[in-house]
Amino acid sequence: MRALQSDSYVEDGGLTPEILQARLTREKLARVEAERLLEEKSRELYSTNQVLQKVADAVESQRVQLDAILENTSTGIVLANSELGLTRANRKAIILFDLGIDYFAEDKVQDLFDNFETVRPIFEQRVQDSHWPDDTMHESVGKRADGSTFPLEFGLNCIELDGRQLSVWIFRDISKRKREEAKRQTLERELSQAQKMEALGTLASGVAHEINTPIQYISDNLRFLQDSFSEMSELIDIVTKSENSNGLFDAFVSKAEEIDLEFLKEEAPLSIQQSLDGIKQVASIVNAIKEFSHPGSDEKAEFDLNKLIETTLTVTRNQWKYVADVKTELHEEVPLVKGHSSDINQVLLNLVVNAADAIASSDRDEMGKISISTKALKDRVQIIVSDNGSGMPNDVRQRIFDPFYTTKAVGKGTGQGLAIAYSIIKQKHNGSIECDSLVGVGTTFTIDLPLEQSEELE
Amino acid sequence: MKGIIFTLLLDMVDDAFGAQTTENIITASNLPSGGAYTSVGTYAHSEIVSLVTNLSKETNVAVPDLIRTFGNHLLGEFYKLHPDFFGEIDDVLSFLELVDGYIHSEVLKLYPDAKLPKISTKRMSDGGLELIYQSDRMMGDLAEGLIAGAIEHFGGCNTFTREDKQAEGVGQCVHFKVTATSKMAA
Repeated sequence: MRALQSDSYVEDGGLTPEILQARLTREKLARVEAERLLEEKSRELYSTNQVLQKVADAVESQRVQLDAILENTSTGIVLANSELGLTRANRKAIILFDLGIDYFAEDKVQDLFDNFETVRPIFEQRVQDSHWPDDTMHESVGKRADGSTFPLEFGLNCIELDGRQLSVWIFRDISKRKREEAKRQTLERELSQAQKMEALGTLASGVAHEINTPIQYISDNLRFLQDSFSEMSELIDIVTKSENSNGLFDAFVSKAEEIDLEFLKEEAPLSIQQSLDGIKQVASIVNAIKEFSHPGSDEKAEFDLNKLIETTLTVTRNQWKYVADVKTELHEEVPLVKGHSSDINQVLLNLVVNAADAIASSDRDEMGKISISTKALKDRVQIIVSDNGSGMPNDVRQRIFDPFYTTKAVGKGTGQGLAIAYSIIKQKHNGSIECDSLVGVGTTFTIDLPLEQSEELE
Repeated sequence: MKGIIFTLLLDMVDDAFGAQTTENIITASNLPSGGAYTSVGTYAHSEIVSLVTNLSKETNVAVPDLIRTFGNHLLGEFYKLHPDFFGEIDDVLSFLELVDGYIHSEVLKLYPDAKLPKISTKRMSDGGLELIYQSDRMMGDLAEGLIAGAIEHFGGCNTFTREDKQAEGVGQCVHFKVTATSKMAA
């Protein structure tokens, strides 16, 4: 500024009355302007304050609302810091884990689980994928402050709040659900067993007939053997009771002719063999019934599918033998299948009995045909049961797996057979069951059973 | 433009050329505000152009020189009015680096409608600082005066060069390069 300064200007430029007057006028104007600005700013400030107050009220109202929602939700919600220390827990979480009011200081998320090590991989994965919110719920076991445990499911997301890494944990007590699931499974098992018993009841007269036939001829054979033995005894008596050999031969020959010894020698072994076969047949039917009626194990076990089909055909023989010929094509390379053999038995029985019923209702004169085949595929086995019975229209076919749906006359079927078959194949064995049918042509059921069975499907 | 600039300019003219000169340029400029400035008010940029132009006529000093000198003067006045802007900074380069990020943002808090020039800085490999001034108000000379004032304020023996560049669009773009020379010996 020194560079600009001019002595002459300063000396000549003193504050004259005119200058002072001009400045006074300007100062007054400036003051008016300043006051106007002050007023304007004050008004702006007031308006801004009003807006801010409204915003603050709205924020507070939202906070209260969110707090109310958080505190009254039926889900336990926990906010944890990066060290997994609890920074906030809603009322449900406090009740769920019996945390106590001073939970912030000590508790960590690890303390809320019976075994956090099973949860840690999920947590670490979520930390890595924190930018992708995830709504997956995982099952685990929760632990209360007193050490007692309970089944729970939890969801987890990681968030960043004010530069801090936090995790939001959602917990649900699933004790009730688990109890209900167990109850439902028991009921399902009981229903399935009841259906099996019902089917067995339906088969009872047929089975009795199946057993009766061999029993009949075993009885006849035994009577024949009884008579034969009596006659043979007389023959033996002739020899053992004679006091001398005079006329013994003639007496023996005469008696042998009388009792037809040649015939007895020929027929008795045959009669014994036939009886043994009959007993074997009865034993196999009794065994099949026994196997079929067994409630089965809770655990899946390996079984021979082809043998299972043979058993089913034995049990149901009387249901189909008057209406159809059964043709089996059971491939030997079919491996052992892991599953519930008793349940699969039930499915096959339902299909075979339905096939026989369909043929019986088709008004044909000649014998119908039921074909059962098994096949080994890459990772599964396939069972095909087909008949050339009456077949089904589309609307019926679409409903056959519905519970309580039946086209049979009242008292002939409960409509549970195929519904249970579907549940056994689909839910218990993760397999598939499909039905193709054409009215007047017949019906084919195709069942696929995976070789690898997961126990979780239970 | 904020009223503080006008009041400080008129104070400077008073001090340098006397009250009569101040009155003369106000009268000659025929200002919409009548020259009645309050520091917190906002006035048309054209008023300062008129005042400086008439001052130049009145004093026979070139406009750029007047503006540069005013910039130099302004820095000292800013320090008196807002010492907090200078904080604990003890070198001019650090101060210049704070102009856009700190000082201008503080000004905008008080005066959201203020139209401030765009100032960007970059440290150079030799430790010096490149400061780029961009504004459609064409006050590169004022920026130059302010830089010179800042160097004086911090008592350094830094030097600087000025290079006017083609502005993008309307306005002025000036590149200043300030050396990193340390403070002068006491």
